[in-house]
Amino acid sequence: MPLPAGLSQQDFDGAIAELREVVGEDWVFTSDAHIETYRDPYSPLQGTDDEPIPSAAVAPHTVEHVQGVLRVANDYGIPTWAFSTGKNFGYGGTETRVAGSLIIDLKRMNRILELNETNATAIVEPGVSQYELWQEIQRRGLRLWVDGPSPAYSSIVAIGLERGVGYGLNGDRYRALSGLEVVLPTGEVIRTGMAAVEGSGAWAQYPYGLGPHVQGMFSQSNYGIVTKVGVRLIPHPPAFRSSLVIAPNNEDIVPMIDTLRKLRLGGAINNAVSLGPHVPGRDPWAQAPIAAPMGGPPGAPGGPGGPGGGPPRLPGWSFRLGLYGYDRVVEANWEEIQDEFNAAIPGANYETEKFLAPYDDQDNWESRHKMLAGIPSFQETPLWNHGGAFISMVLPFDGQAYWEFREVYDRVYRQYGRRYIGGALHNHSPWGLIALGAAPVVRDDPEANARSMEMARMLIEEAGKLGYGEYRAPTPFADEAAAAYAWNDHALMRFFETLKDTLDPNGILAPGKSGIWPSRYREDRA
Amino acid sequence: MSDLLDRRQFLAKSAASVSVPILAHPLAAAAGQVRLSFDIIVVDERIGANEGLSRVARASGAQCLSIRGDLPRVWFDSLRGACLDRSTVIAGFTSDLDSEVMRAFARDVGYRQVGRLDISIDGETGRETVRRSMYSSLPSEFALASELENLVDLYLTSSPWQASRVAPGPTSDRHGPTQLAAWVIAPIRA
Repeated sequence: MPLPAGLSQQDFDGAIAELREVVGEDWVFTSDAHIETYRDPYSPLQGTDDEPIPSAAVAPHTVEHVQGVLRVANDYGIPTWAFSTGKNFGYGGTETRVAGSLIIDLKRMNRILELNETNATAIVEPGVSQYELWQEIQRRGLRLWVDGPSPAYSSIVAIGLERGVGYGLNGDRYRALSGLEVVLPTGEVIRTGMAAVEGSGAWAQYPYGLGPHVQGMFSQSNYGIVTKVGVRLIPHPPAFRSSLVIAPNNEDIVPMIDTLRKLRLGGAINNAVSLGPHVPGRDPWAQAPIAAPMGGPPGAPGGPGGPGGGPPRLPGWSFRLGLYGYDRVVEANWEEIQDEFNAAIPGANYETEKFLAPYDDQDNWESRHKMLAGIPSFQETPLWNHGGAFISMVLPFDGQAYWEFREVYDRVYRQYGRRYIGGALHNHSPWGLIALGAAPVVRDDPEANARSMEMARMLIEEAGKLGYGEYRAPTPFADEAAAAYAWNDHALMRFFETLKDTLDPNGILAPGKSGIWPSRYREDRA
Repeated sequence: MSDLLDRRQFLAKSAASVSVPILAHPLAAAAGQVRLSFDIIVVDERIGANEGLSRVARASGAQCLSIRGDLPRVWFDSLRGACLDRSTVIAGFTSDLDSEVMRAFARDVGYRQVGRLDISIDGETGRETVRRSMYSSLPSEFALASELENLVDLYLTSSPWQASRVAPGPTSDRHGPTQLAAWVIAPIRA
């Protein structure tokens, strides 16, 4: 395995010996067999000289362990890379930016420290997955839902800090966080928001505290390792209606988005919405393709044209809609929503089902209902052929803007032998929309992956020309994604770097995360 | 850096090495004549039928688990617990993505994927079109991978392919081949 740059084998061995004293012999991993497991299977860099192979991994169990690991890293100048469960496929997984990094695997920090049904909150460590929190909620018989992405093996802490998405009322996973405990790169431990009050009685209930709201500094950042977090849950509503709204034609995406915006801003729709191409019989999000290869049979998205000689037919669109609350309110909203879509989209149609509390049968619901409710589900895991690296651009929530941007994506995709079909998330804000793309990654085919990276870079560049940037980026594309935030000669990045150099003077924590490099790497890269 | 072999290297080593044990052929296992080294065999019926494999698993003393497209739940509910003794060996026949998910789960309990075969099933003809393999070069793990190779042969001959049941994912090619992954995970002994 590669050593950290500038470190002799003797020093590295010394560091490993000290790490073993910190966390115990069994929790420091240096063998090829172990390190192999920390390589990201969906990295477009896999199998190339640029793939950043780690030097070792360590699995702390306590905050004191994390402090001890960072002390060793500071003493020896070893770059580290921390993750909670390391299953963020498509956005980087376990991949680091710097070869020879020490992996800090937080999987053993998996305690649920508090679970409060009355306030619908919890306090958890980073190794707790959505599914494990759900299991505990079920074990205690609490009337709570979690929300979050599917598959539900992702960490509650990480999906929030990475600003991932869910599909129900807590779809903006970052905003579901309240109060962090953070080990800074220097080893000092701080708590944010109400968690900083001695003996805090409202840790997970109120995120802001007094003074500057610094919780966001530890989101998508390399300023600290979060070891505890408060998280908001969802109390069971009296009624829940799960629907699929379907528009028959590809062009309907424009009125679909505009109508959705009106209903979302007006308060009739409150769940996080994902729009996807509608293929009858397939789930709009998990099974509909974002892209298709050029070619295929006549009429297919990438094919030569329909039987009548018309252009290749692209599918219509659909999204999942959740309504929550008192039964009569839910039903009144549902009627209004249908009226709005019927007026805007000829041929709009719906699939819908209503559930009433108590939800004793919820474990047997179909996956699409579970996702909207906030019941951790795995079944959205698609049958991917190999994988992809996501490209996620933030647009205004505007039908025409999306339609025009989709054309930009498609133009780039065509250059690489594919058609862009589309997919969009509306999870973080009623005012914004995330246009989703993916660069395919093929195992053991570095040449194809190099072309995919080229395509991804071109997509980022073309989006930047329109004034759009990514809301998060796969680890290998972090620099390109960060470069789009260039206003005033990259003033924001200079601010990030100032914070980085202050908080992490030795530059040991996740160098390059979100494109933020500590000074010693900036000098090398200049 | 990798200690994994590709298929060509594997076959070369298989022919040359005297330390590799005689492979327990699954047909013999089906007849109850030998025990396979796998304690659990995981199958996803969305990708292929598993009657033949179930028969082999039963006869050889392995447990055959159906995941019905929900490997992670089966992991959390039963497989993870089975791995805590650090001796259980698990083979699987799943989607490509699930094989990678399993690889990540394995890491969490000190296991790793020691053998893997990628098989492409043509969407129209239902025939196997490509097979790529990765095997561990460590002798104990190499033997497990050898058994997996034989099990795959049996699986492919005993399972009628129903490719139309397989839906493509967001990044997949709609008319492209279906990827089946056969894998085996075992405790890391390094």
